[in-house]
Amino acid sequence: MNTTPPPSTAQIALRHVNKIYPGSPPLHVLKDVSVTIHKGEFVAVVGPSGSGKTTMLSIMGTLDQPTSGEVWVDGVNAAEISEVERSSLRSDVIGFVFQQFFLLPSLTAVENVAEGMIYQRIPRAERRSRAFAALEKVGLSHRAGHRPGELSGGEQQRVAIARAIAGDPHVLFADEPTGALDQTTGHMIVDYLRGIADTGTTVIVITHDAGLAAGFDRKISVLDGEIVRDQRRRQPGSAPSPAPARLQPLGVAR
Amino acid sequence: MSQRRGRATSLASPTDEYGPLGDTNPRSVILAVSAAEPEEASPAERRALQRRAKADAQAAKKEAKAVARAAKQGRPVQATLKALPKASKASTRSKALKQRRHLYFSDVVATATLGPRSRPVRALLSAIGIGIGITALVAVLGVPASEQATRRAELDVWGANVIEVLPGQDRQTYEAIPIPDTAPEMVARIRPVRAAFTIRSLPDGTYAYRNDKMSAGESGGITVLVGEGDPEGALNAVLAEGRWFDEATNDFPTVVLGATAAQRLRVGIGQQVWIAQSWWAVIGIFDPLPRYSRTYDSAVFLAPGWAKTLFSSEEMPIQSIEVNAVSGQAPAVRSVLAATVNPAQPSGVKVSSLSDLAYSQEQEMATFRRLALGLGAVALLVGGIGIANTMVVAVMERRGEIGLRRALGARTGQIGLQFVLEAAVIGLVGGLIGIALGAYAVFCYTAYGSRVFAIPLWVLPAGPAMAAAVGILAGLYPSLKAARQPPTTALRTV
Ligand SMILES: Nc1ncnc2c1ncn2[C@@H]1O[C@H](COP(=O)(O)OP(=O)(O)OP(=O)(O)O)[C@@H](O)[C@H]1O
Ligand SMILES: [Mg+2]
Repeated sequence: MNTTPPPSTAQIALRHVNKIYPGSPPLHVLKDVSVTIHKGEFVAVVGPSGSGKTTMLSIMGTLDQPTSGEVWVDGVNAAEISEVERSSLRSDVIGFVFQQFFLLPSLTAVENVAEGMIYQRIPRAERRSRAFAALEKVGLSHRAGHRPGELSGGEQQRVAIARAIAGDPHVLFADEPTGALDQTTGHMIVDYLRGIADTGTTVIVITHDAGLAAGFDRKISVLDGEIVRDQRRRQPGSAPSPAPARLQPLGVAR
Repeated sequence: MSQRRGRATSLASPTDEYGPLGDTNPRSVILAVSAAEPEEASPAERRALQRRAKADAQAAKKEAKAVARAAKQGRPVQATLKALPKASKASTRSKALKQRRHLYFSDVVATATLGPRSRPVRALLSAIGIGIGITALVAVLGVPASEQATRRAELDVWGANVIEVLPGQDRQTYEAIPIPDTAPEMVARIRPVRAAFTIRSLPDGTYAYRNDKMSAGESGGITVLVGEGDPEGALNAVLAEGRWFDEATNDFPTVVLGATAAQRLRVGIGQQVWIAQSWWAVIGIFDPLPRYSRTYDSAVFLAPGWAKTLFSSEEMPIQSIEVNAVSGQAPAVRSVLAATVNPAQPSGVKVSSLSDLAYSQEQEMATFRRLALGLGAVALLVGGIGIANTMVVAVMERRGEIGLRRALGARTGQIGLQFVLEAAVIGLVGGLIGIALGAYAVFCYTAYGSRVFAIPLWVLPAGPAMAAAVGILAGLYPSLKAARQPPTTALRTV
């Protein structure tokens, strides 16, 4: 087994990850998936329904464990740390955004955002100021006192994004964040996610929408539990080139 | 804390196309990726990592030594730590991850009350079951406590030294044994007796009327008795108006009325009542009597001197002698009373005191208590099931929230605790409702009988605590379910 850590530029690395759901017959959802996602990348994961995108994202985000293979998050092997540490990893390093928003209906927008930081043990006052700052980033500071029931779908998803980024994660996972929204709103959400990626956060987004996927730096296509295509956007005027070469630490030869 | 890098690629225009990495064949794309990208740390990086780990281990050793030295020499540990070289960033991060961080207490409370706050009616309804249980508990403890407090208060007023002498029964034949006529005189001779009051009954059909034109049926529950001696000294019976019989009034047709009797007959001092075919003048009216002699409130007491001219002593047997002993001498008086009252047949005399009365009341109360305790236990059980049901539903409804919290970094224990505490909060609310309702029930009971209101103080914290404990017990299973829910399944639900 290979237990060498991935390069320090790697945010997430899967190595020969398999996920098999027991049953008869057992369901082989991820088949020997290996992929490295580098710090600061803005990645789209595409693929047909049931191809294993959500499963892959859950494993990357330590919400689920692979049947075999290695998962490295932020330089840490997820299998080598305890459940307590994995929880801390989720609270400090990882942010999640889901299709169904999962906002708490009885809390206001700013309270929902602040709730995202309680497991980080950030003091109340600081939580609140950071929640306001995060809402500002998604252009919703004027709706801070409203409950989810009083917000549009797009606004609710922006609140969820604010909650995911308020804790200052290194990597943000979004599972079909635009799935419940119309196309225009979907584009707006992707723009906000891009803005987050521009500040240096790694952002990995599952999307069904081919039109939306066009806006990303890298597109990973999943089919039937395998990565069948991994493309980077062409640099203007240059041939398709593996961008990560530029991410390697200077002076380190391979 | 974040060691970030700028994004690697920047885009010039949105019209850019994706290009496969190296090959167009999907299979070989993966190969191309792995060929192009370093999948592992380079040897140099690995060496750096090893160096860092070694340095960290040394730093940790140094730190431990320094702290131990500082502790020995009594130097402040904090200052010692500052002087040491810092461990590398990576190791502080993994240390930060290892640390089991706890929620702030205010957040523990906030998350535990989130459910009840967003669905207050449901929480309140499921709290009511527990509330009824605690209500019963408070009533069960409060009613006897009030009784006792009342008795204690009455003992203070009425004297702990009242003893009652009643006619007894023959043990074999069950025939009533009358109290001899000589008894009052003999009792008065017992030295530690402060005062005695003899009450005689009259033949059946002796009624009191407002006037001579009323029929026999309109006697209105008033008893006509003959009272001899010192009612004030013996029963603490205070006259509201007028006087008790003295030498002058004793030998004339005069009466003293209980408070209720005066009210029913609607007569006052100086007016007359019609008893046994003759007019009697009202010379005194009592205040309501202390509780244990309250039956005499509806009595009319005839002047014994005049009554003796109308009835033979067989026609007016002694019904009871109320004896008030000198303070502290009640047991002594009690022990000689029977023999004094009836030297020929002491066993034919019934002697009882307030404490006997209290005892029989306690017996009655015990039955009531068992009943109410049973009811309370059943209510608590049903209430607990109610809470369990509410929590099961809550956990099902809030699967999304549970998954989200796990994604936000909540540990399984924190999820479990949130729901257990939520159940405890519902129980606690029920407990507080129960305390309030129970106190009100006891208050109503005491107000009805002009008793002293009392609830054992320890019930006030114990009731809600017990309710919360039932809540926790009821919430255990649903909370365990919530905690064990894999985050992925929790998040899959819409
Ligand atoms: N807990 C589970 N037990 C058994 N099978 C599961 C479980 N979770 C997911 N699966 C199966 O794994 C496969 C992949 O699911 P996954 O949710 O990852 O797909 P997906 O690509 O996200 O699909 P979609 O685009 O519809 O969200 C599906 O066939 C699904 O039925
Ligand atoms: Mg999915």
